[in-house]
Amino acid sequence: MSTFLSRLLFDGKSPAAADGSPPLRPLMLPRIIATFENVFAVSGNTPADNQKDVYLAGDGSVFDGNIKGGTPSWIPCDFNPLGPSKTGRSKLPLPDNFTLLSFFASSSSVARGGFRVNVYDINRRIRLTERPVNFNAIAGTGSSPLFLGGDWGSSRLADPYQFQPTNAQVMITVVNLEVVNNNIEFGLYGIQGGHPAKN
Amino acid sequence: MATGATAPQIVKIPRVLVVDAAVLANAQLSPALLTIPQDADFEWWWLAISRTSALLKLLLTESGTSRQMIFPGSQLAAGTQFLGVNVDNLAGTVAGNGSFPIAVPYVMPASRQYTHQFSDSSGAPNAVEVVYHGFALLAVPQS
Repeated sequence: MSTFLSRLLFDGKSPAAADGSPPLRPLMLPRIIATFENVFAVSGNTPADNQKDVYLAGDGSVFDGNIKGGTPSWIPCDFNPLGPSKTGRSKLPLPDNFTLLSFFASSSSVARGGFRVNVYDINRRIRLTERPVNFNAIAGTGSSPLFLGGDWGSSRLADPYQFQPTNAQVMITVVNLEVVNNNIEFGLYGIQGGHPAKN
Repeated sequence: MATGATAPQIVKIPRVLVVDAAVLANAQLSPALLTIPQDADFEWWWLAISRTSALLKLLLTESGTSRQMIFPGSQLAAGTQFLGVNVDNLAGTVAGNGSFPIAVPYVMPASRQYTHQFSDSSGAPNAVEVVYHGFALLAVPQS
């Protein structure tokens, strides 16, 4: 005996209505399923902007399992301005015991995408970006920061990157995509000091 | 300590601290001070800023320890000063869909002062408000 659902699933044919009205569309079942609630899904605190879900309601920060304490620190690098289609490069000395949580960036001109940036840990010779990344895609903005090491939404698996304890340096390479002078700011946000909570 | 004394319980009370400043056109390192209320330490969770123009930089220093929170990342040309971070990169604006989460909350001790230095490049007066959202860590004696 076939039922409405079995006909949709297995017969491959749309059931024709008895009264001669148009048959049900075959995509009806996926549409019904799409309305079901996924009981395994975990929603964040800010549905419109998961990038900011570093805090868990009634709990704490997603970084609590990795780092405690320390001082919030910003290390900006300015190109005022960077010429049309020019490449700029700078070494950023980092404060001691610095843990990277996110990047921030702004561009005075965005008509052709603003700028791209490459980030390189000089001491460990590690590229933190595999190739130049558009500034919005790596940094978000001040009101929508993109935290590193975290999945979209809240995650206890977030694992911030710790640079070497002293004399750490980062090399950034900035490519201006604009055909005009571009005032560019790119920088690192993170924690100075603190102590690992893992051990 | 007397025998039998118990440590006070810490109660978190939501608290918002505000720094208002009227920055003159093209002012450099115009100071404004935040003083943490003396009744409790303040645990800082969010930072929000509103401003007239985004062409504004902020430099933030903890006065009691001279601890910097914003470090120069690039070499400065001779005769130039480090002015800090663009305010919109630092915090974002509330109008722009929210504030910046500090991510690892920072405890600001009671009565400590934090120096804000604003630098404008808009060429017009810039009214700025820096808002710290977090919790007062009130110590409540246990009976």
